[in-house]
Amino acid sequence: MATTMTPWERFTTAARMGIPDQVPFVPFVTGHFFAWFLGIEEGDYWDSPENKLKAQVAFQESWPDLMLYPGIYWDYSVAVEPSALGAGIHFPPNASPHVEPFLKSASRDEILAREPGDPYRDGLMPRALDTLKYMLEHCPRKWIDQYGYLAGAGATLGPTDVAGLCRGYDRFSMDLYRDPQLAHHLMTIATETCIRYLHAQQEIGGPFHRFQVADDSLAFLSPKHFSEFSLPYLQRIFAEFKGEAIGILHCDTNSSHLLDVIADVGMDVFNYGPELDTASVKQKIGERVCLLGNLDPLGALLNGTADKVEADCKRLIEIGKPDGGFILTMGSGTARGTSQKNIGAMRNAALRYGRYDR
Amino acid sequence: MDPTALKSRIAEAIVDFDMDHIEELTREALRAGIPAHDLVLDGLSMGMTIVGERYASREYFLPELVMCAETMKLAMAVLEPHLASETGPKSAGKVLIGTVAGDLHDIGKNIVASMLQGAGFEVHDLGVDVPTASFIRHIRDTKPDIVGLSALLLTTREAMADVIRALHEAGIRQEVKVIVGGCPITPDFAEAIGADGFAADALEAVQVAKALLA
Repeated sequence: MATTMTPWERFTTAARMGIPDQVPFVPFVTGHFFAWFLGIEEGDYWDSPENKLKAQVAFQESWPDLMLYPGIYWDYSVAVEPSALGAGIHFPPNASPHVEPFLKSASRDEILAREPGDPYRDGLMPRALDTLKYMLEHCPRKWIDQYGYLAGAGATLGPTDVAGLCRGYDRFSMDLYRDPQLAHHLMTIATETCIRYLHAQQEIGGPFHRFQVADDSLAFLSPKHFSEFSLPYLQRIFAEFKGEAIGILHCDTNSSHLLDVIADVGMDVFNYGPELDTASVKQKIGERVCLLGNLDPLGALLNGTADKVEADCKRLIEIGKPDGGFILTMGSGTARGTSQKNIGAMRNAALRYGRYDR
Repeated sequence: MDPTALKSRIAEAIVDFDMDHIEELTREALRAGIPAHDLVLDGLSMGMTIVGERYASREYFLPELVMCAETMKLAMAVLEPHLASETGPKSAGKVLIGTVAGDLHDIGKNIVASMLQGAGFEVHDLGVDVPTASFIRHIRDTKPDIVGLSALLLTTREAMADVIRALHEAGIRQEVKVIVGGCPITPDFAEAIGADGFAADALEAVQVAKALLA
């Protein structure tokens, strides 16, 4: 069967709520999988621009016809943004970077005195920006041109994650009740840090055609707390950059209780986690926001057969596909050890069941 | 206030995370002659059970769990000296809990520890990044009924299998029940590594712990 759109055109069309030629499939792949795929320890991946690019390109070249999500990018997991506020980062030999909650025992006055991070000076941000520059310079041009990676593609951790990681989620949780002013200050400086970081990325890669905000811990909050402490700050970030760019909100924790309000963030695309029922997400926000989800990356993709993967994806496509606004991916980052065969089963499902001209 | 009303009021204070009044309420209950063990099992435990139900029904979320756990800790701090001197009913069981080697995440583990304590278990928390050998040493020293293993990463969950293997090698596997939990933990994984129980959240951890010791 002939396909008339490129993967990038397909993604963009779906993201803008148009009807593409078929449901796009974009594998959701991040550092711990990339490192495993290349056969290196995670400790040799996270702070090495060379290994990072090598691992990501290696995987891309194994699937040349697939656009990846988030794509080839300057991946530091959750380390960069909290580090710019002052958090120490621990790089274990074979796990993702760990953020030290350095504000856990800080006094109220110390926290209120903290300012947003400077992307050109603070924490890992300068190194992350240098990694972006390195990758732009050394990534095979075809991937940048073909899939829109790096040049004009932005990414940041979200402010709820940044505040929670820096303060410790237990202390931040108590601040919401015991000292809301403090919680708001943390969210304000976290938001401004993320915005500055995104602007610095634009300085290097050019104006965004798409950008991503990853904020998993927003789903830890009740609807009331989300609306007060998270939503206004996410809205600020998306309003700052939306313009012509496609804005993607990632949250792979269970946000089903927030579906009545989450589209108010202002994103074009919502990348949601495996616990959510796609039918409910489609029903609640599918007319406003493109859905990017949500095959179970462990139960199905890592541990299931290719037949099960294809069957689960068929079901997701049948639910998400009508009237457009659906992109197939994993519910969270692909787990190390996931077979190429099972990833292929996802691609096959999109090809077999995702056409819009049938 | 009569003893039943005091215990109910303490349970309410836990559910409402009334950190400002829980300590005085607890002292008032002790002054009224209510044994500390009764206050744990009828007051705190009742409150944490309701908290767990509200979490399961998605009325409460992580911040509410944290607030309730912190409120309970304040009450326990008042009760602990009295618990040590009372010859009251045995605890629901002894639990050793920790985040496995290489993993520094603790929020889930902390909530579970609080919920177990609120349910009347004696909890020994080893903290985070606990080497396998350390688990074995503490299990030998503390002789818990249950060991709770927490991991948040796919890479670190393998350490859970290491702990269970080490229990076999030490010849003490049958002396303890192992419950595993955390984001990347699934029932299939728990079964594959030979754990006795799997808990998807703190409420389930209490239920599984009680069921294993029933």
